Amino acid sequence: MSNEAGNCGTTRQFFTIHYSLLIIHGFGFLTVFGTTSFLQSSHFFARLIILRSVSFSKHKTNYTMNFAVCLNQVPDTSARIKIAPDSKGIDQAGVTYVINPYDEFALEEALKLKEKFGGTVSVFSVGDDSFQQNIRKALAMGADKAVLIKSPVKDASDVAFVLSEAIKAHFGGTPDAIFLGKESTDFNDAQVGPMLAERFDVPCVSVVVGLETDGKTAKLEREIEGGKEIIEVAFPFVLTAQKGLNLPRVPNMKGIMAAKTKPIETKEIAIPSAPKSVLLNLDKPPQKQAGKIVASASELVKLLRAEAKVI
Amino acid sequence: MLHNGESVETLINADYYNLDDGVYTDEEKAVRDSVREWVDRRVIPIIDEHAQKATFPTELIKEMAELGFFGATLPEKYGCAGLNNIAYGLMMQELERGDSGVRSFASVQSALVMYPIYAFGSEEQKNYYLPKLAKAELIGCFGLTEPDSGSDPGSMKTRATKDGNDYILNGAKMWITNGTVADISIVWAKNEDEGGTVRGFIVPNDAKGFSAPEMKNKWSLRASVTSELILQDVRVPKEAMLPSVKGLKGPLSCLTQARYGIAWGGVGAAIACYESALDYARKRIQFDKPIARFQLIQEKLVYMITEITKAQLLAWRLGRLKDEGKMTFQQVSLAKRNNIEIALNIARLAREVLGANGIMSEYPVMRHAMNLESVKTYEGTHEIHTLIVGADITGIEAFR
Ligand SMILES: Cc1cc2nc3c(=O)[nH]c(=O)nc-3n(C[C@H](O)[C@H](O)[C@H](O)COP(=O)(O)OP(=O)(O)OC[C@H]3O[C@@H](n4cnc5c(N)ncnc54)[C@H](O)[C@@H]3O)c2cc1C
Repeated sequence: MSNEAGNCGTTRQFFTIHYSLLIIHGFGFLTVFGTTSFLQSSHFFARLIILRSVSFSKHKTNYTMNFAVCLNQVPDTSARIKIAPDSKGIDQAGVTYVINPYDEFALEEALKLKEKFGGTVSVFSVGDDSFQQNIRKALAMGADKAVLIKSPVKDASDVAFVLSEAIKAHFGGTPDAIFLGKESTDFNDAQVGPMLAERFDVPCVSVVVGLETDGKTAKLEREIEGGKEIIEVAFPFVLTAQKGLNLPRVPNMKGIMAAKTKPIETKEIAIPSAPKSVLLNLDKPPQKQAGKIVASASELVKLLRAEAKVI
Repeated sequence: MLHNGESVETLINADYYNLDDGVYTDEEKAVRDSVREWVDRRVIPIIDEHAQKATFPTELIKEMAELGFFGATLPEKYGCAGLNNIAYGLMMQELERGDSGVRSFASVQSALVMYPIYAFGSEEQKNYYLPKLAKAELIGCFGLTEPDSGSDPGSMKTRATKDGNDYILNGAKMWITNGTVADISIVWAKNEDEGGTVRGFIVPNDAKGFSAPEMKNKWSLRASVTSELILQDVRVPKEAMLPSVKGLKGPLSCLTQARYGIAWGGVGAAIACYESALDYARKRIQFDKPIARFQLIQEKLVYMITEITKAQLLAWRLGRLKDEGKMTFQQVSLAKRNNIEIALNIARLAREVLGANGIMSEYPVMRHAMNLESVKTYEGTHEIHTLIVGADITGIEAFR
C-alpha cells in the first residue's frame, strides 16, 4: 500500500543518520575506551541513540512541511447527468458526488510528502455542506484538518480568490506547497491551479505525473507530446496532478474512525468583484445519428463531398 | 439506451430502497465504500485465477490487516478499529461481493479466533494475541467440527487431559478454514478433568504432534484453504486454555458472531450476481430484442432485487439490535438462513439469465453459486437454523 511506501521514506532517513553517527561513535569508542565489555558498549550505544534522536528531530523540524490540498467534488462517473430546467446547472436528483479524481492524486501526493518529512496536510474546499462526506474521506485518508469555504462563487476566478484567502489565513502565509488536480472532471476548466499560483506569486507546474524531492527543491515530471519534461522548482509551488502521479490509498478503518474527530472549519469569504465570466447555458451534445450504408464507392465519395463536406 | 430506442434508467447499484439516504450513517458508508474500492481494485481482478487454481490469495493478507479488516469491532487498545456492527457487516458484504473465500478468511480471523480470545481469554492472552492477530502477524483457525461430529458438536471426540501444568490434546478436526496456513488454532475439546466439559485451547500449529493437512479437490470455496487438524499427544501449558468459558456455549457464541457476518456476506454475493445478470440482460440481444425485454427474464431480475432488498433490511435491523445489545442468536439464525438461501437462489437464477456464459469464469456467478453451497452448510446448516428458529417460536426442540 502507498501508506507503506510513505513510511519507508522516513525510515530510510532515520537509518542514514543513525549510520553516520555510529561511524563517528565507533571511532571515539575505539580510541577512548580501548577494550570495553559488551554491556558498557551497549550502554554507550543507548546514550548515542538519544543523541541521534535529538539531532534527528532538529533535522526533522527543518523539513517539517505544511501542505494545502484543494479538493473539489464531482458527479460520480456512473451518474446519469440531466440538465436542470433553467439550463444553468445539472439536475441533482440521484446524483452522487465523489472527490474529483485528479484532486485525489493531489491529496495522495501531499500525504506521501507529509509521511516523508513530517508536517501537516490541510484540505480546502469551496462548496456547501454536501462536501462534508468527501472531506471526511480525505481526513480518513490522512489529512489533518479541513476548511470548507461556503462562498457564493460564480467562476474559476472566484474559486481561486476564496481559496487563496483561506489558505493564507490558515497558514499565516504561503504553505510549503499547494496541491490540486489538473482540472475538475465536471467543467474541465483547468484554471484554478494557475490562478492560485498567480495569487501566491509562486511557480505553477501543471499536469504532473511524477515528483521527487529532498524537501528543498522538487523535480516534477510532466507528460508532453511524445515525451516527458522534468522541471525543477524550489518550494513553495503549486502542483496540478495528472493521472499516473500515484495510486491514491483506500482509507483504512482506523483512519475512518479517526476522521470523526478531526476538525472541519467552515467560513464564508466575501467576493469583492463581479464574476469575470458568466455561464449562459448548458446543452447536451446532439444525439448520434444512425450510420448510413451506401451501395457503391462512387456514392460514398459523393456523400462525403456533398453531405459530410470532408473532402 | 436500449436496442429499440427506449431509454431506461440503469440501476447499477443494488440500493432499491435508498438505504444510503439516511439508513446507513456516513461512517458506515465510508467503511463500505473503502472496502468496496479495495475489493474492486485488489480482489476482483485476481480472484478467478485463485479459484481456478484452488489457492487462497495470501498476497492480500497483509493489506487486509493494514486496512483494519481483522477484529474490526474490537477496541483500539488491542490495535483494532472499534467499528460498530453495521459497519462491520457492510465490510463482510463487500468482501463477499468479491468472494466468499476472502470473506471467510476475515470471518475466521475476526469472529472465530479474535472474538473468543477477546471474550473468554485472560488479560495476558488478549494483550499478547489480539494485536498480533489484528496485524496478521499471526493467522488463526477455529477447530470445532470433526469427522463424526458436524451439526451435533456435543458429540465431539477430541479430548484434553491434564498432566502437571500441561494439557495433552488428542483428536482430529475436519473442514477447518485456514488450518494449513494458520499459526494458531482455537481447538475445542472435552476436558476429562472436568467430566468432559467442552473447553477452548489456543494451540500453536507448530506444536509437536500437531499437523494440518489441506483438504484438496473442493468444488466450492476454492479460493479458501480448508484443512484437517490432527492432534496426537499435543502438549500445551495450562495457560493455553481460554479461562472464562465452559461448555458448548463457548464455540456457539463464536458461531453467533460469525453467522452475523455471514448474513451480511450473503447480501454481497447476491448483489454481485444480480448486477452481473442485470447488465447482461440489458445487453444480450435475442429475437432482435435485449433479453431484459422478456417477461420471464424480468421476473427473475425482480425476484433478485426484491430478495436483496429484504435481506439488506434484515441484516441492517439485526446490526442495530446487536449494537444495542439486544440481538438473540435465534435472530441471527433467521438472517443467516434466509440471506444465504436467497443468495444461492439468486446465483442460480443469474446463471440462467447468462445462459452458457453463466458457466464461464469471465462472469462471477458460477463461482458465487458454488461458494454459496458451502456457506449454506457451514456455520450451522440451513436445516439446523430452521430448527433453532423453530424451537424458539414453538417452544419445542426438534433436534433429536
Ligand atoms: C468449506 C467449509 C469450511 C468449513 N470451515 C469450518 C471451520 O473453520 N471450523 C469448523 O469447525 N467447521 C468448519 N466447517 C464445517 C461445517 O461447520 C460443518 O460442515 C457443518 O456444521 C455441518 O456438519 P456436517 O458437514 O458434518 O453435516 P451433518 O451434520 O452430518 O449434516 C448432514 C445433513 O443432515 C442434516 N441434519 C443434521 N442433523 C439434523 C437434524 N437434527 N435435523 C434435520 N437435519 C439434520 C444437515 O442439515 C445436513 O443437511 C466448514 C465446512 C465447509 C464445507
